[in-house]
Amino acid sequence: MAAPELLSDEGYRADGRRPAELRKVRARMGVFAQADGSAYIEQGNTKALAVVYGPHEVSGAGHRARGLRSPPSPSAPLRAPPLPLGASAPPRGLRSPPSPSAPLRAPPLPLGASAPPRAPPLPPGPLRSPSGPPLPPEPLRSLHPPGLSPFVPGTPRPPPATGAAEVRSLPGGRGPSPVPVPAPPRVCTSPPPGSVPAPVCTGPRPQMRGSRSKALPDRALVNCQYSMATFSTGERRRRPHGDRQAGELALQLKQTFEAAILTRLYPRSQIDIYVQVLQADGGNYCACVNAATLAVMDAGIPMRDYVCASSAGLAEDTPLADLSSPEEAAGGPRLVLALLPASGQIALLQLSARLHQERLEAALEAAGEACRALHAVLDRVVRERLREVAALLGD
Amino acid sequence: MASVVLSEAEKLYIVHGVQEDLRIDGRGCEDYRCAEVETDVVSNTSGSARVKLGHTDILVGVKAEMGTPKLEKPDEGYLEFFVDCSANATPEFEGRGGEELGTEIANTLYRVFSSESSIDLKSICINPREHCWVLYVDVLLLECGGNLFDAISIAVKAALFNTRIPKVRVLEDEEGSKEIELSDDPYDCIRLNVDDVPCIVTLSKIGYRHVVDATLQEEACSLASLLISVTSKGAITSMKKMGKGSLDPESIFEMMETGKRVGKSLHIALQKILDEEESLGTSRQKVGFLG
Repeated sequence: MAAPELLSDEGYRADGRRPAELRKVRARMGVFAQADGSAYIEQGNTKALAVVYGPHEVSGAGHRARGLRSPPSPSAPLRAPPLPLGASAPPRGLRSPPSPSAPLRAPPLPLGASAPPRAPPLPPGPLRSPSGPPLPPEPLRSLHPPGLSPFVPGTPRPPPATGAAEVRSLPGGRGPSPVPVPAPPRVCTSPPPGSVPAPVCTGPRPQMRGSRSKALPDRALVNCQYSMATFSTGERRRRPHGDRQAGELALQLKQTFEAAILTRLYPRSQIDIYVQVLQADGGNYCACVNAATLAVMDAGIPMRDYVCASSAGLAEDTPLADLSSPEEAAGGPRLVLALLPASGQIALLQLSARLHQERLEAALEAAGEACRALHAVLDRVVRERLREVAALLGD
Repeated sequence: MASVVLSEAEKLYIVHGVQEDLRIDGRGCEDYRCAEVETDVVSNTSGSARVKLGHTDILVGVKAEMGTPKLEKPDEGYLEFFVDCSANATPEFEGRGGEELGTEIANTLYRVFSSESSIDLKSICINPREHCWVLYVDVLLLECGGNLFDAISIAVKAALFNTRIPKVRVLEDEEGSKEIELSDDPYDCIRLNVDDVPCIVTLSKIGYRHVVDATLQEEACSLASLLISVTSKGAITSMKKMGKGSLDPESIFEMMETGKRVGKSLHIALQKILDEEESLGTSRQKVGFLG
């Protein structure tokens, strides 16, 4: 281990920090106007931008779908589906029914037959208000999903047993969902209106960005891209993304944020998180996670908690928090931790180079402490932004 | 390319406004939007600049690296352009989606800088036939709000103005082997003369008139546009017709005249800002993306 030079005899690091000290953090939310959410963060000399688009249809961004659909109806409002449709079942417009499910839904009879106990409570659907709770537990199961998410009508597709299980776990975990949309009764999804939107929505489908983007029936798809500006590193990079490292980091970012975003609130939709490192000076991935947290919040997407990430290393026995680029290059063990600070849950943990098991705890503790410190900073940024926005809105 | 789709009524509104020399944001036909320019925003580059023109946001980084001169020009350094249309600007650019536009812009920049007078390439040659500086001009498109080309050219000029290339000396011993020695003083560096670096002015034909610095909405109304690169003295170094429509020769000359006039004042304004920023020296508070 190249530990000795990491820490001076007086106990200071090469850049003058104490072992547990973070670099200066500065951040801002709402950097760009066109994106749904954006944020910028500086951690020392590491600078990263994050932009969030969504939640939107899986069939590519709203922009693209818009562009494709507009010619026939030039005066159509930006996103709205054809009016008659919206009137009959408001939330359906956003959903693009996957073609395989169409045959399933077309014959309404077998569905009703397969789940006879559920069928009876459904017909009075239109009368039903979101205030379903006082009902006995049996129907509650069937009522809750529509209240939670307007798109649930699509869920009959998976086997009923698992569907019910997932549904039940949700209301238990959280309070009432913020989505008050009265559920479109299942009965009316199957007949005519169900067949009409199909051509409209499937239209842009072939244009989808990458065939990998597939709508998930029960939650939102989180799509990430990690790129580094060609000038961000000491030596010029050939390309900003598309290399193996960027692919791996994008995948990690996706997993980190799937753990944090309440994806079940947006079934069949997609959330894009794009991060860009403008200047790389150690802890790039951590800066990106922190920026992405702020951007997701800026987009107003509900999350379980902040995601704060920090790295930690070891100099002999002393754990070092928030490694800078020379410290990373020294080749000692490096721990990357993404933490949900309120619950203390770990969203991502990665250790490179070998480390004695006994020292792991100390390193983990140092990284966790750094994450909690970052949480305080990010929280301040968010609150400040909120005050700013509230003032602008005149509240 | 990032674009918006407008209804016929919206288009008509814009076109009629342009006819009256009053655009949707209150500008006249020859007015630019308010631009923000800041240099030296990325500290590990040789030069960098960020330009925000309306909603268009561009970050340019210039990195000087040592390379070998091109065979056809053995006593000159050269510039390499790369444009990254990042997914930040629009999700369409995700993956390889932005490559097409990026290549188009990069090729335009090559053409704009192909004129010999635009930048003194001889000054960045270290050792004819053997070593020269290669300036990698990397453009990062962060947000797309219309008039990309102009904004990028402004940012490139600002970044080149900000570029500092370390001074090197070539030492030759008796046997004829050469050694390159880097100056010890980090402030001992060469600056580029950007007086003749052209800026691009895009003129979009809307109805019977043309406008400069079109927004995304105005670009949607314009069938054809003319892109000219103008130096601060008003000389045109390159020209390109863009868009799916056609232009008649007469209007091309009209547009060139406007372009020259607007380009000159653009250069003056840009130079003034760059000098002003320069005069603040190191005490300047850097804003970057935090402002």
